[in-house]
Amino acid sequence: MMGIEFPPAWILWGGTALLPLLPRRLRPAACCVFPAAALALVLALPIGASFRLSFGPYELLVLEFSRLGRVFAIIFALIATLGGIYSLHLRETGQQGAALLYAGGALGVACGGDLFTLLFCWEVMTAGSTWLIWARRDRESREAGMRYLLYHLFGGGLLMSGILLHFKQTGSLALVAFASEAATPAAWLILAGVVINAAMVPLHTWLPDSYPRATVTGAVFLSAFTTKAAVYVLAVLFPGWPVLLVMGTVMTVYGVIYAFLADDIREILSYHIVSQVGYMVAGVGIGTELALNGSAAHAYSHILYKALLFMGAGAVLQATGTGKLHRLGGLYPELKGAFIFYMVGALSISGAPLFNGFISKSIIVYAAHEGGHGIAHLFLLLAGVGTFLSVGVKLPYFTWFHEKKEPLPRRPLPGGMMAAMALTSFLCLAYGVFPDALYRELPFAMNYRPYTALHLSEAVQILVFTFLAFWWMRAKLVPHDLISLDTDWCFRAPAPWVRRVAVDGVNAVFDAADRLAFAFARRVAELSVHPLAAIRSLGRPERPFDPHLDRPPLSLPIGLTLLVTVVAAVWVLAR
Amino acid sequence: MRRWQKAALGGFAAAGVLGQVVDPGQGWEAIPGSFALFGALGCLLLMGVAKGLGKIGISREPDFYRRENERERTDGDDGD
Repeated sequence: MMGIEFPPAWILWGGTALLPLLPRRLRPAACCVFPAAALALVLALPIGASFRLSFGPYELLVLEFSRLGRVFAIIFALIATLGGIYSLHLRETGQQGAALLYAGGALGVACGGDLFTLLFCWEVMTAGSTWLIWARRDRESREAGMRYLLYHLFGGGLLMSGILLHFKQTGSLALVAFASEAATPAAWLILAGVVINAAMVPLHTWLPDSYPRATVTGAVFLSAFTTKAAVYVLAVLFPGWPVLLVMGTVMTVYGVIYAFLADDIREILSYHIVSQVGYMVAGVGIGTELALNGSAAHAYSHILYKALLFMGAGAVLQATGTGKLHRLGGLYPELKGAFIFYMVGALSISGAPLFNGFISKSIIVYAAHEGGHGIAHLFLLLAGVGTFLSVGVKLPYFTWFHEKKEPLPRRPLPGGMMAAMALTSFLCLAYGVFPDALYRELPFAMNYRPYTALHLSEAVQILVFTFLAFWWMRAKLVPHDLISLDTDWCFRAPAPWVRRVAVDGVNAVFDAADRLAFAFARRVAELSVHPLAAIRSLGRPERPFDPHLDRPPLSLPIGLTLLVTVVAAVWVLAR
Repeated sequence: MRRWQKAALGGFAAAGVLGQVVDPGQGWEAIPGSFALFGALGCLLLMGVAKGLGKIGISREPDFYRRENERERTDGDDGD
């Protein structure tokens, strides 16, 4: 058993390094094989497995396999495999390598045992994910990718500052939970760094800004790793922090309101990541064993159904070339398969019975109720209503049904995309029907039963009457070609003025300094060559170059040459 | 909506309310049909809040940021 105790992330990073060396036709398959191998290793590793690595004077714990980490590691490796199948048609080594690098970073976070390993894997995730956004290679993705990178470098900086401060104060890099009652500045800095990756409102805008602009396949990977790795770190370091319950609850409702306003189908899904991660953050904030189990279970379910939803939305984008709701409509006859798979994801995220969202989201809602967090409980229920409204009804209705707005191209969908959607749909249903398959992997013992008459009646009534309210109002909900200003307006709107002051203003100062320096150097040079002329010209206005005045006269040397030539010629002839 | 679809929705709604009668919760959750009311009113509330936010200036033209940038650049050029 000792032989296999090494970080599963290394398999994926090894894959990134090996990929360019493989024959081009084998690379897509390799992108499924490497994550599948990592999944096999994760399943084989015993709880408590560890691997140490010397790094200068430090002994890093690059693998410390915990029960909580195992849940996240399984789903990270599983979704990387499914994402690889979805990307089988892809022929871009850069994207394939970036996806493996990114998935490896997430696996490294889930399996790592110290803060330095966490920070390293965190930054690896940033590098891989940024590439997946830029890989779309248009102006929008380039700009959104840059904003994404800046956000994550800022978050990474906060995380590193917190880790360094914590190390200075305690001398320890161990991943140990911080107590909320005695929170140190280091703990707050680490928390600030982590919640940026968790897309906490108001620092969430990198997510709905960048994910809709990523490539079709890249968005599937993006939907799975960054926010859920952050949820894992929150569950390890900050369980029971009351501020997380507030933040999480706000995220759930904020996300559904903005999703309702969005026009891009992948932006709708992105805002619902904010909302769904809000459930997990709230669960961590509640901090009981049941709530932490709920957060882990919901992260597991969410990764599956959210990847499936992005696969379905990506299929629409791949087939028609657009993801704008105001341009879509009437796609059902041509994209029936994608619709069916999408609806499995939509019913899962909505918490419909028999789907995996039902068996995980309800744990957190129940834990809030049991914990006496009445207001949070109400908001979590309300967010469930908004989720079904946007993802379960509005998006599919205006994409696959309603009227055709304009003729759109119909490109055939690759077999790999359909196969990945079918497999992911199967898993969403399987975990929904057999919840114990997930519950037995959770870090704490579970006595919770999702299939009670009360839970079922709650879900069914909410879903049916949300649908009826939508149906009643649907004529007023026709999408328009609009964007929604979010909190990033605070720095995007003043950006031109900031550019004028911080870039153009600084450039102007540098230009002026440049001109002064050159004028000084010219004057010194003139003084060195013609001191008297230079002194005489002092105080006179500068004039443009005049060849008659400034060039040394050529008539004398030319005349002398001619004279010598003529004299020499006469002398030769006279001899 | 077709007749069978309406019947299916009615059946689900009735089953939902029946389930609440069989296994009542605590407080407002014990009232049969309370989740139905919560779903419908919650849906209308969210739609109203979102639409209201859109109307007060959240919803803008898709090239909002680009136009803002270009306008500022033009103003800057004029000033120079």
